[in-house]
Amino acid sequence: MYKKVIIIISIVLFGACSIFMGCGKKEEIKDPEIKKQMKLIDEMKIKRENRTRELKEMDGSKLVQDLSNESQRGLEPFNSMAYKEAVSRGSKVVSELSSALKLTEKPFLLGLLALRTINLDEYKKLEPGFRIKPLIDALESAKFFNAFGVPHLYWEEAAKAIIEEGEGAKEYLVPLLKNTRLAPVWGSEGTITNKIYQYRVCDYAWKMLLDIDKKEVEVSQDASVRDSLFSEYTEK
Amino acid sequence: MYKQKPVPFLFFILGMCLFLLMSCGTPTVPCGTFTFTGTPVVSGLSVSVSFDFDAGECGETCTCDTIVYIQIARAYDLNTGNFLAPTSEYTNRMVTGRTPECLNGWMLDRLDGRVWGYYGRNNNGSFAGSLTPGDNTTTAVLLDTPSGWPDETMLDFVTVPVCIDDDAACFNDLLGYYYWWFFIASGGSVSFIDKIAVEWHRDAVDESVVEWNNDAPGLGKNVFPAMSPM
Repeated sequence: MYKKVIIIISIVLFGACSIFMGCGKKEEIKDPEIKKQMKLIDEMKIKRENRTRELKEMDGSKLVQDLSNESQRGLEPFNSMAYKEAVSRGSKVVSELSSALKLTEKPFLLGLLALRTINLDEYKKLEPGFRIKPLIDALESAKFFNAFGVPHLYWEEAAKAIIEEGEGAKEYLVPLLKNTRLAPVWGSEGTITNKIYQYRVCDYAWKMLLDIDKKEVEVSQDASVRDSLFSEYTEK
Repeated sequence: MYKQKPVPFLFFILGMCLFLLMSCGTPTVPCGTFTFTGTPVVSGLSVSVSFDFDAGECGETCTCDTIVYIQIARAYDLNTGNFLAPTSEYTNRMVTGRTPECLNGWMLDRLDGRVWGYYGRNNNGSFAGSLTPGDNTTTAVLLDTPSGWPDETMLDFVTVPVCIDDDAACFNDLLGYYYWWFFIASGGSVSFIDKIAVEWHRDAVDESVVEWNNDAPGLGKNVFPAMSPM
């Protein structure tokens, strides 16, 4: 009798507790906004897994084509699923990648950066101008500059690739010192910083020139102060 | 002997109730009051999150002279389901491979080149204009303008006030969790929603801090101390 009473009390208690708490996902899903978002998260997972599978199953040439497509979309290396897949294949994709790059008139950014990451020797076999020009074109035409970084804080791979060209990159960077088009980044805290500095294409070029020359200069928040320092390169 | 068996069973049931209580997706209880304002901007949202600390709302007492924030963020490319990040460092500290799925994709929201994980904190320990520290009588305010994101992106954030006054009884306590998210439709129009975070958001914060702490030493950044909800 005692046992039955305890069991009944326990079951009632458990049921009451569960109902009272409205626990787990069931409770979350009662909120229509959370419900909608949870559904979206599940849909995104399926899409992402499908895209990952599709990329894994691609042959090298199709993958290189997707890299080109994602370059045209303006995706940064760290946001490109095709880039991630190419880098994960390593040496298996090098020959197709370098062949594809050599066949194009204007190599695409993600392809260049993937080759540089996978096999620096193969990347260096490309003609210097063939490597540098597309990187400079990407800098000059970028809508957002996340692929390059923020001049006074950090550089991403695309900027590092330009800087590592050293003297050879200067002839391409100096003309950009006249380019005063604004150079925004998208994001969260970075956008606030970018707004404070009001970076332009010329600021990116200037800071890269300084880094090539290994010069330490404090980057002013005042664009006119930065402009006054450009003469070091423009008056040569 | 026979009569004692049901008692452990009762404890088991009570334990299950406690587990459910702890693991539920129920809203978190902030130790104070959040105020959120959001204004759509081009492909983004201009946001102010304010927090007025009141330990009594959590049945505690604490005098904290410095309340700041940590914030986590997540962004989806709605076309591919891919998680997006503004920088490669964000990508490297992204939470992945966790179960349930809702914990994945989160990243501690901190500008590259900054050594502190606290939002808006400069390397010398001061705070940028985007973060006004609070205390028991002063509102702690976080300003953010996540913007410029690609069309067809969904972003969500959890904003968490934390006491960093080492003389306070609630030193390193997380004082509340606020959740906000927005969609950028094709064409750049923005819609947003905000509310008190639920308990799995708290878990997402914990996982994001773990990832930050994993990467921080190699990047010359400061790891977070052990933190726990108040």
